[in-house]
Amino acid sequence: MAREWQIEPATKRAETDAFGKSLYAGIEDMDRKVVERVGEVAAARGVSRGQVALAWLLQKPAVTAPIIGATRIHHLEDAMGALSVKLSPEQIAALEERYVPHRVAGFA
Amino acid sequence: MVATRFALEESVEYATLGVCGLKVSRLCLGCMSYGISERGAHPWTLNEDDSRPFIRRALELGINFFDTSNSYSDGTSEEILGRAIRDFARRDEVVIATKVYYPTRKDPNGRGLSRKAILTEIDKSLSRLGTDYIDLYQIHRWDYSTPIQETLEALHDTVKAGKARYIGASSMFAWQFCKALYVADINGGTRFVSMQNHYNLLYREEERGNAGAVPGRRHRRAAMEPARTWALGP
Repeated sequence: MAREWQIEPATKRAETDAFGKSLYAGIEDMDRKVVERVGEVAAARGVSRGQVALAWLLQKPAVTAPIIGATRIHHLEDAMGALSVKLSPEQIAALEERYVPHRVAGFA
Repeated sequence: MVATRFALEESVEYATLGVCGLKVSRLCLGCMSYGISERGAHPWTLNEDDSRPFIRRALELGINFFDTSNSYSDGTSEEILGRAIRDFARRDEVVIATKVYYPTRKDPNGRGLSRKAILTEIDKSLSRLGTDYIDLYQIHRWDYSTPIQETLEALHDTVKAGKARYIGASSMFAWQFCKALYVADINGGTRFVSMQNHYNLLYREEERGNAGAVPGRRHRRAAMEPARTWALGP
């Protein structure tokens, strides 16, 4: 979600995280539309895609502290920037509009 | 020791974790990417020398909340986090979260949420982290082979023994989470204060009452710490 849609895995984790892959199997076409909206909101706001994704979570009343992974230092700094991104109701609606239900995955 | 900046005027905001008194930064650094790559199931992990700058930088940025698991990279994620905290921070100024459930040994008791497993695994986590206490001790998944009453009593005992400050849950159905809160309440035991779930713009099933835990969480007012927030990125 933090970069444009790609066919080839972009990181070693994307290549080798078998559990992570299982969470998103078979729904690529639906997800692509959401990722496009992330890019549009990021461009409109002049912030990164990752910041949009995190800002959306941070504005959910249920969420206390999103957990971020970082394997490059700029990931951390980028994530911190999300704390000052406040999305408008219209932007939140645009990000949520294309979502379709996914298979429940990841539980024991 | 880095100059940690836990002042509210800095860029990080802090929030209380649900209805408990614990204060955490609004971002938590997940430490699953830090571990010896040859050990455990995650070949993408960064080894110790490459991991430490991330923990240090997070502290500099005001992040006080760090999450790992006894299962990440065969326990080496906990070891790397513990040493970095000891070198770069003051223990009491940070919030360390770890987890129990996944196999750590081949024998049938080296996994799961039995009283035997929990009381053994928390001591091993404390040893790897090099600390006297874990701030947030979480169950990584639901254990269908152990009564939740047994799990909750063992977790309650870790709190009363001073080994854990708070307990939390992760990745389970809403009915399971609600059942655990109910069982804790009727027994006067320690309740889960948090739910670490999988929630992002590409996976919002947590918003459904029959799938994830958000409705239950909001009703019961436990905190939520979503993982995989970037969905296979950055």
